[in-house]
Amino acid sequence: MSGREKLATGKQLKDQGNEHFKAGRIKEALGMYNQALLYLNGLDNSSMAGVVSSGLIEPLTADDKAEIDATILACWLNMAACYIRQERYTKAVDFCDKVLKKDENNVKAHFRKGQALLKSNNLDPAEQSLLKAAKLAPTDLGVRETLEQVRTRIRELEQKSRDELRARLKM
Amino acid sequence: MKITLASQDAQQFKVDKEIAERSMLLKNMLEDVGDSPDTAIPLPNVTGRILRKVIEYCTHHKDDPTPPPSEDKDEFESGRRRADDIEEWDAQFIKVDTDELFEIILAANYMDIRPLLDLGCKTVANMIKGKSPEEIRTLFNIENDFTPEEEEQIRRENEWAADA
Repeated sequence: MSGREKLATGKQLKDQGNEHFKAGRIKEALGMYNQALLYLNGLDNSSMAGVVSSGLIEPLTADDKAEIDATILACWLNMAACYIRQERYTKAVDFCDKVLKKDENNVKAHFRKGQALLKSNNLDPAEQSLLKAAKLAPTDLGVRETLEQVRTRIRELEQKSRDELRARLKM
Repeated sequence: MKITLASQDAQQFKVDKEIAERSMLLKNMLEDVGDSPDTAIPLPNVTGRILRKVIEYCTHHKDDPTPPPSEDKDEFESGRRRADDIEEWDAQFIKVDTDELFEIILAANYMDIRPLLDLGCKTVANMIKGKSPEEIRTLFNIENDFTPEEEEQIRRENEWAADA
């Protein structure tokens, strides 16, 4: 199987993952994204081209390489979305971080990280991530709404602790 | 529980789940899909010859603590920066020719086995240490693509760093 065939297979598997995700079959979707990564991960090994014998290096064009990277990032992002649906928030955050390490201005990664942090009640870091997303995509309604939710929660908690303190002082 | 892995050249390997899970790529997959997959897991970016070596490494290290999932844990990092702390079994294991060494590094990168990747890179670092550019070129079959003028310029710019 050539490098380009692996890329094509990886993309196909990712698309099948998306179909499963849309239909709500989260576990099946994850299966497909993981399979896609078996084909795409390590496929672009051209950075070693100077030192290993040429037979080991996949012949790929610059476009192919860009497509491999983009598809891997898409898999990781979609996996993060799956983990949020499965309420596995730590893993969701880990996968968003993987994306951000490669592409620090990825709006979806900041957004999903923020969502996962909100749902796991890490409100301050959630606000940080969502602020970054909002800065990168000022018109995104979803980001704004989620940021608003986080801020409301933070205010509620502050109010609650103030009330508790007041109640205690009255005793 | 046994997992079947299939290499690029369609060789099949049956391994214990805990051994396969030294690879973060496989560990994540097995976590996500739950119980044992009934078909072989394809690993199209590694040959059977190298996968056999990788499995040998993972089998020996199956009881090691797993590195933390997120990448910047200081405690773990500090140990990775030293190149002179390779344990005896690992040193024997990695005594292979240069091509095979690089293939193992590529496989460790592909399968996401960080301790093996570190071992490979430390070994390369130790091979380079104390050698002249010419010796390093010979060692890794690197073509000298500098013109004599360029080379002279680089030598001047880096004179301060050269050994006395």
